[in-house]
Amino acid sequence: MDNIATTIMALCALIISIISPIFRVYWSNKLNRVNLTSTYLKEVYGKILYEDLPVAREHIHINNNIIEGCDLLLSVLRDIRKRALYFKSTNKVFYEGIHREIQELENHLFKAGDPMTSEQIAEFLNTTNEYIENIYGYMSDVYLGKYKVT
Amino acid sequence: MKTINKKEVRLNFGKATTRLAGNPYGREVFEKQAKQIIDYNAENTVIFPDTIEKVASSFVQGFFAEIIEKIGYAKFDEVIKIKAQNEELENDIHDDLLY
Repeated sequence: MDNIATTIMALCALIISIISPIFRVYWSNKLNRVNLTSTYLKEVYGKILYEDLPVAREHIHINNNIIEGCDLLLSVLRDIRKRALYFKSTNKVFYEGIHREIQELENHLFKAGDPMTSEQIAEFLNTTNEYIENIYGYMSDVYLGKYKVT
Repeated sequence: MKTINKKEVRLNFGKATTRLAGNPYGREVFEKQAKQIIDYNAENTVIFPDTIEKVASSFVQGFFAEIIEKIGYAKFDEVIKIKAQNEELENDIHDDLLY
């Protein structure tokens, strides 16, 4: 009985000693890919996210019930799309996601320029903020490795 | 000397329309106003009316989707020219095809 238990324990130890390094290599590679994506994201989007995007958002203002000042934000969004091209080949999931988020915000901003009621203006500005938060959230999730890295 | 066949696609929108947005709308406009005119063996100029001040990338990518599928980005500049209210808008429309 003791021999059987000892044999089983020895076998388990052997299996663990074989599987353990394989797991270590797998997780190490996965972590490296996530880290690489995070590094590239920081390099590619750092200044845009912490400076350009918030500044462009502040340019939006109301003039005689017409929302104005969206051009700078549209320009920043174009820049984000252009820089995302790198990820088209390296991380298609991220590329398609950020492309979709950006274009939804662009389409929303195109509603500005015509006279609006106070309620419509409030809704427009709230929705704009939500879209921008979505973009930041999406970038954070990718930075933290929450999306599959290809 | 080789003669280049030239075609013009003049787009029409309501007089009050100054901005174009939306991928499905871009595809719809292509189907209704451009598809039957475009000749892939000629030089086609797509003319946006002067009343159009802004064109969203979603519209651009919807409008030119079928053209890109047929001829690719490499041949695009050979087959399609873009005319719009000003040079900056023309360049933006062209660049929005790529990204």
